[in-house]
Amino acid sequence: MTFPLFAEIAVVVSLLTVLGLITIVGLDRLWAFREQALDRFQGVFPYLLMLAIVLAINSYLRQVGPSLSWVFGWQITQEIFAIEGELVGVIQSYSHPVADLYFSYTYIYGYIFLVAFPVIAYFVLSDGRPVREITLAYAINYLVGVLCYLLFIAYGPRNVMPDLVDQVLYLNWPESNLLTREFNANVNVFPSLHTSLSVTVALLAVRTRDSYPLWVPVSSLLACSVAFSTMYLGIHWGIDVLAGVVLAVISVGVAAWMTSPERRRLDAIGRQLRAPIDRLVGWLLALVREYRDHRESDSRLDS
Amino acid sequence: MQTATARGPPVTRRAILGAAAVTAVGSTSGCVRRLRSIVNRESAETVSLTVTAPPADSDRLATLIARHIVSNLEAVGISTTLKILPQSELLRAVLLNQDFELFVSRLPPVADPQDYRSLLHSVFVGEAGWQNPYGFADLVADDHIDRQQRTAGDDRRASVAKLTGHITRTQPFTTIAFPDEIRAFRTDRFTGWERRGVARPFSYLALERADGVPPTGDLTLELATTDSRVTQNLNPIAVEYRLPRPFTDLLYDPLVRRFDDGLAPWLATEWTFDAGAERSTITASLRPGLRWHDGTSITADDVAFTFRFLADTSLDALDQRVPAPLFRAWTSIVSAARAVDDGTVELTVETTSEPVATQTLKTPILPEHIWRKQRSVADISGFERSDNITDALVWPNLEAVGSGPMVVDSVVDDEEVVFQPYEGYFLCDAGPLPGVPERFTGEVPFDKLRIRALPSNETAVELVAQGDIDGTATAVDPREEIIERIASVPELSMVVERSDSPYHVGYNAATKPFSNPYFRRLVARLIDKQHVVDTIFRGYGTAASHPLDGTQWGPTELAFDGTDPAVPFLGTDGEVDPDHARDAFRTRGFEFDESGTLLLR
Repeated sequence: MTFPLFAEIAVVVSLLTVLGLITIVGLDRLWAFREQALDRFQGVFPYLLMLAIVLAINSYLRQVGPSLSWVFGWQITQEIFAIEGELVGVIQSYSHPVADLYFSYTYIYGYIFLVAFPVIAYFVLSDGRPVREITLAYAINYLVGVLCYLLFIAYGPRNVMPDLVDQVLYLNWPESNLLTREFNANVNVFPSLHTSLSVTVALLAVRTRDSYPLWVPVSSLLACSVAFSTMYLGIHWGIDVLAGVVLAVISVGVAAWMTSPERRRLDAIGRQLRAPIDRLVGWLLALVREYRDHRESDSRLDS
Repeated sequence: MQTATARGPPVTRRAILGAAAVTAVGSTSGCVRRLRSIVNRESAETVSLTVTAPPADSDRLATLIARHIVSNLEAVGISTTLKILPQSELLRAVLLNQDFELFVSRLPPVADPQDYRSLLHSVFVGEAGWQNPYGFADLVADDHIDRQQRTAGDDRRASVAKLTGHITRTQPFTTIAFPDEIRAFRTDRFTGWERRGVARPFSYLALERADGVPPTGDLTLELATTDSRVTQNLNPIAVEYRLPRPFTDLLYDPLVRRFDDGLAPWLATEWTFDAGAERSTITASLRPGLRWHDGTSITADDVAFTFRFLADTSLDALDQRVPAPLFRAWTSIVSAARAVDDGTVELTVETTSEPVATQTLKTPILPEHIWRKQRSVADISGFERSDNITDALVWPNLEAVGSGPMVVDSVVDDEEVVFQPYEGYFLCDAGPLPGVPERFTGEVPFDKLRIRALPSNETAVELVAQGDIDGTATAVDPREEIIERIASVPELSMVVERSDSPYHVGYNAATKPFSNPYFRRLVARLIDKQHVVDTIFRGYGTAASHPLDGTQWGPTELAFDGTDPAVPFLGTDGEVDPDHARDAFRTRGFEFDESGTLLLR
């Protein structure tokens, strides 16, 4: 099965990223980065590898999760409904076609950009800590998130009170449902990972405000829009969004603690753990450098 | 098993304190006796009911009906929660574990009054499946069911009328309405969708290639379903996975198929009916030369085995019989099945009524060499009575070997299932056969049938509109947006058919408070069926007072006629009139506390 909406997402997110690189990161930084790209990559690689492994575990557990959950999990739809009632219905009663469009696009394109862009932007920074922080924070989000999905079974508001809450997203944009289905079972709503990852990005933006001051308002606005869109589109309950915010605060806190320069022992353990990976990457990068130098000297000889 | 959960009993506590004070003042024997009689008496308590329904993603109409019921129950002071379970979990809770109070779902089609036997007869109270899931045990109903089974003609009609009257009066379940099923189809590759309806998967075989499409060559019929269960399980007797009109119909043939235009001989070429004094005998001759999909010959032994196996899938190995939960209305009256020779089978049927007896021949036939292996006890979690479950009932059967016109090509869990025509099918290169409708003879119009599970109606209709898919196998929601989208594409045609599988509310009559028929009747009177059809179905449906309403079997005085003849709605336009409704409850002995909450003992 081909990846739904792949072309559209690739184009929109690339355009937004290029725009972001020019305005938020700045061309001087990119120019300077050109020289250090390989070294920077060597430092970040173990973190990217860890995130990739977490994502793989996450996607596997999400496939088997729902059927496991029905045997072992807690059904909390009724409890959520009892606590917050028809909040999402009230939010949707103010719906407007323009808002439908804005929140649908924010939920899909805005979210992907919001989560992907800072990884690139932090990668470019000469300070290596933000990029380590963001990969760690994402990994914690996904791990805790998938654990919650295994433990808690809950249907979103559109499935419980269809008289008040419409599935705005799928009604206006049916293809997007094919995309979301690849990632989410409709019983995985607590907590909202859309919210937690978006808020994570916004919180980290505040921590890196000295490097990227413009990113703070942009990411905050986007994060609020994404969090609100999950309710506006009838996908998540208010409680899911709240839990998402809490998860974001925890992930950023833990990631900041783990990457703090004061954590010498943790740093030492981390260094030991990644030593074999670093050696492998170092060796591969040395090969690349050698090849490049070789070609450069060849071309010099030719001329 | 769930019972009505009690909310805090303030009266009892005060009674104990008061009684204790009395005891402290003067501890005479009279006072102790008084204390005992106060403390030992259970006081009435407020109850909380649970309505179980599927999520809107899989059955939006059912969720909306459940919301309607919850809000009207709340309006009269009965605290109610809505429990959302996916289709297969809901059926498991209701049909296998009897873990529910009220549930909203489609009822399997009641095409013949005999279908009431498995649905409501008290002998089925202990069985899993759509065998009396309500726990309804009623002497009068049993008598009427037995009588219609024995009789034919006007006598049977009279028994059915009495039975219908009794069912509408006692409300073991409440029939709400028959939905009009809307499906969208493209006409640029295949035509003939609307000719005979498309509710049954079997009707796809009667389609034709459209003009301009090469009459031979590869062509896949692409269909969408919003019910992914068909990609998880192809077992014809796994009740929690089968729709009222299952795709497994294409894999397993019965001796006789029933179409709108009557019975058609299928695996059997002919049959005779001999009525005795108490029971009757059906002798059926098999079509010669038939083979299962794996090449093995289909014999009378397979047929005899099927009836024995469906009556007890453990084949007498266990103390308790483990009947297949589907087709019970028919298989339960077959008391013996015997192969006379390779091509002839003899069934002993516990009825003298020919119209009842011949319908047992609609049961799909299973290959003995495959299903005999599935007779051992299933060791699986998720079932509460796992000592009473055989492998046959829980087997996914994704490589189904049947005798039907289709064989399984490939299955991807939760994504798609692909069928392809069975090359050795008896209708493939046959000319006209006596009794078999001509539309089914000859080559199947497609060389693959792909059914894709899609997450929603909207997506399904959109993919049909864009041309990726030929049609929707499951019905789509009667929503303005969807119907407009279908109308906006010229190559699309919309087929609307009245379903014979109505929406209904089932009550757990085995537990309080639904063991009281008056309580069931009162809850039924909180459902505005006409309002459900007008606003939830948006007019695409017909309200009904019982499952045979609108058929030749429904007595005219019991037909739904704007209001329900037996359980008229206690309000107007979907809004319940709380005072009027509480009065109706009080008339039947129910009480409310000062805040208007229903109390139950």
